[in-house]
Amino acid sequence: MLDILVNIVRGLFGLAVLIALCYGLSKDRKHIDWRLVFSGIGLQLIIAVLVVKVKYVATGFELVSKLFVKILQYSSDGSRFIFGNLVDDAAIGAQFGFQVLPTIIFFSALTSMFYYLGILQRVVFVFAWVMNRTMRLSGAESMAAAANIFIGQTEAPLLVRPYLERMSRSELACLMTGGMATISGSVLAAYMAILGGDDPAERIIVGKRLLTASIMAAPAAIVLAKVLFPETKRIDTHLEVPKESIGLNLFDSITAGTTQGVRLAVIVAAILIVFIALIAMINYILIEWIGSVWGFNSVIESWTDGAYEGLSLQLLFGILFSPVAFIIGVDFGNLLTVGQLLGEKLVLNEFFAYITLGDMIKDGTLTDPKATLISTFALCGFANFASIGVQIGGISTLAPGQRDKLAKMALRALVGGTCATLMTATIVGAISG
Amino acid sequence: MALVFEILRALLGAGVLIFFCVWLSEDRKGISKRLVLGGLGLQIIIALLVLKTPYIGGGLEFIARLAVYLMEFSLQGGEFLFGELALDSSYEAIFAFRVLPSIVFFSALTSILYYMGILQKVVYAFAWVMQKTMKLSGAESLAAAANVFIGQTEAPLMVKPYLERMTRSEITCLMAGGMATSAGAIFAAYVSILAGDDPALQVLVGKRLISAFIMAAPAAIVCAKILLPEREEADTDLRVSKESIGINIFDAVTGGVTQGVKLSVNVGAVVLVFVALVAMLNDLTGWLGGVTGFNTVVKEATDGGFESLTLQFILGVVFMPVAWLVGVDAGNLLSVGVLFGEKLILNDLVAYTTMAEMVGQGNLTTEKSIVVSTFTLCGFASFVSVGVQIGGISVLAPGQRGNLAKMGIRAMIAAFCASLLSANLAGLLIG
Repeated sequence: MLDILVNIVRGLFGLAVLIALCYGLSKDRKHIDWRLVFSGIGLQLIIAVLVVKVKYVATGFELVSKLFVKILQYSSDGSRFIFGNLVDDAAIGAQFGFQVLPTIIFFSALTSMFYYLGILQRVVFVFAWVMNRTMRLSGAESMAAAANIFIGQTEAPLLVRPYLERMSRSELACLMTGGMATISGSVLAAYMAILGGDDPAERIIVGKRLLTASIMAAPAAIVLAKVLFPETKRIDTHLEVPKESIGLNLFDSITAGTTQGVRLAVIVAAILIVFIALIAMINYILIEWIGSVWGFNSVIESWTDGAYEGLSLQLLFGILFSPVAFIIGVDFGNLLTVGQLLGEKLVLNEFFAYITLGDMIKDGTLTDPKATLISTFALCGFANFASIGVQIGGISTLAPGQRDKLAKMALRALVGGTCATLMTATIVGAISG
Repeated sequence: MALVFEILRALLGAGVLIFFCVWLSEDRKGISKRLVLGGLGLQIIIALLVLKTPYIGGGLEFIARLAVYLMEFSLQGGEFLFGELALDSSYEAIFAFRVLPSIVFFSALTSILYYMGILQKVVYAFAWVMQKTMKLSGAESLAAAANVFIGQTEAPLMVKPYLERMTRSEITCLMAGGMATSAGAIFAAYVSILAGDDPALQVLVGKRLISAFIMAAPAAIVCAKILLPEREEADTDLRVSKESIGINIFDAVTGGVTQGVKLSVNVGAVVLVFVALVAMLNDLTGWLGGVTGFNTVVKEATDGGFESLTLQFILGVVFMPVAWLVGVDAGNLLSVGVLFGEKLILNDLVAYTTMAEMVGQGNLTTEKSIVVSTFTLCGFASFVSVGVQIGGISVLAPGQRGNLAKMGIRAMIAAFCASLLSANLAGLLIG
């Protein structure tokens, strides 16, 4: 009983801190619409309770997750055709390159297909409708936020392309924060493979969590975007299913999705190579030069019980972000590890952080189920420093007139997107503990 | 006695290379003797400093060691994605899974240094020295210095505001500088091809390549300025373009990664196509050789080194005299000739790969031949690069497209001569 109470208090404390942070950074505190803020948080709470506590909804999510796992297997069939043994052979150890990355291509093609068929737009419409009603948003921003659940931060704006040039500052904030607070369907499957390992049951659990996190992040992002940049202009609440189509026919759209997926997969691969190499470089300097000369390494090793071998970037992340881990409800024993994950996600990217989380689960560094759950939710979003450039570049090609606004708002959108995933993590941590 | 002969041969080699450029010059009277002598003097001083002075040589070795460490780090990234394929050379997939990823990493590193402004400062220092010794325009000295570190289509970015106003002579200089040098992003690729897994050899090769990178810049200017002397009044203002390459450092890294991916995919594809094309051509020449009986002639003449009449053999024979001029020892003339030819008509990476095979099979027997080859092959001078430059630079300065197209081949010749000049000098000093 006391446990539950502590959980709830910590959850409320976390929410208050996150909202206070965005309130502090707000551009126009007087015009914050508190009704919107509370209904947005309420909406998240309802989604979380439905998924976690109501059996029907839980089974529904599980079904979708099962479907994803099946699709992952089909994707592996495709990879096996091209790469043969390289896909599964543990002795070669190239599963990441030849099994995980190809899933991005297949899921990107599938997304395109659903887009072409108009299915994606209808699903997005449903989510947008709910948010539009509960939070009194403009049509374009609810569509954009809902689309971000399923597709990436530079693809979602395509759904509201006709409105982009006319969007107000607050609407743009919604669009950008929504992009940072969520991931995309094409990488979701990859994370299921990374966190779930080869075990289908484990993959289903992870998939369910990632789906929930993605859906909850949409209202969370809106809430924080509207705290950071409250709407002051009259908005057009009219909501319609976007007409813009991709491709001449179904096959053309699949090809387009494949091309996009290839580009994404190659860039993900390249970024991972570079980040791993850069961190190895920075750690070499920190551990071999600074740590060993000043004698930090042995102190750190005994202090962390061998979890960190020395003054590494990971440790610095852990120390720097452990307060954040505490705010979102992580128990004392796991603050450093979860802090490390949060830092990796913000500074590098969520792909990298999920890989670390996967390794931590595998080698037993992170055993606490609540910490794992919170981490899975908190990492589920594109909010990292590189995304600033991705968004400014990507969205301003669609709406060149908004470039200045995008550039000015990007850093706040990053804060909003980060806080949004932290918020979903806080809520889930509080109610499932 | 042998030493005197070698010195004479080196002088002859340098003389022939210079006269070849003079012969092709558009305006022999306009050639500035001060510039040529200044440039050659600068090259000799640099060579003596980097190859013969212990302190600076030690500094260079330190940089080479750092680069080898960086390659280790890059390997960790490759290992994560591709496992044993990147580590274990018995899979024979090192080129794809180790060399190509290293290009991505080094490209990202270059972007970081560029974003932080460090690269510009180093480039400025180089440019300053060259401008003072050779009386060059500001833009062309910057471009030549930038080419030491970055590739032939990225270096022009540093002088982007000046590109449209550049004279023909400046454009030739820019292009020759691009082709006489390589790019920092490719550096690690060269080292892994030539040195494999041996750390000591990696440092040695790395040190030589860095020397080659630095020495090539003044040499390229000299050759370009002989081929196309400056007749107009050039702007001597030395200023690095302030253009930024990213919104923040992470954006710059992403930009570098994207560029690196493009480069490495392209390198992989071009090498694949060239190797296949050469195999196809060799089948054809082999058939011709069989019909005409040349195959047996070739086989006897090379003691079985070549089984039949191949493209390599033809290139080897054509470039043998060049190899002799730059100081290659008698027994290795044909092999080194093959390498020179492959570099010029294919590209540097294919030629280095062949060179690594030759060293492995014992076809390059003397240290001097290896040094001369390492220095000559280091650079982008090839027919493909002419197209790359015309395409790449004319995107930045559309008004110069005509000039670029006209100067392309000349710039390539200048660049090749520049690499040969460095190789000649290096061969004499350390061979």
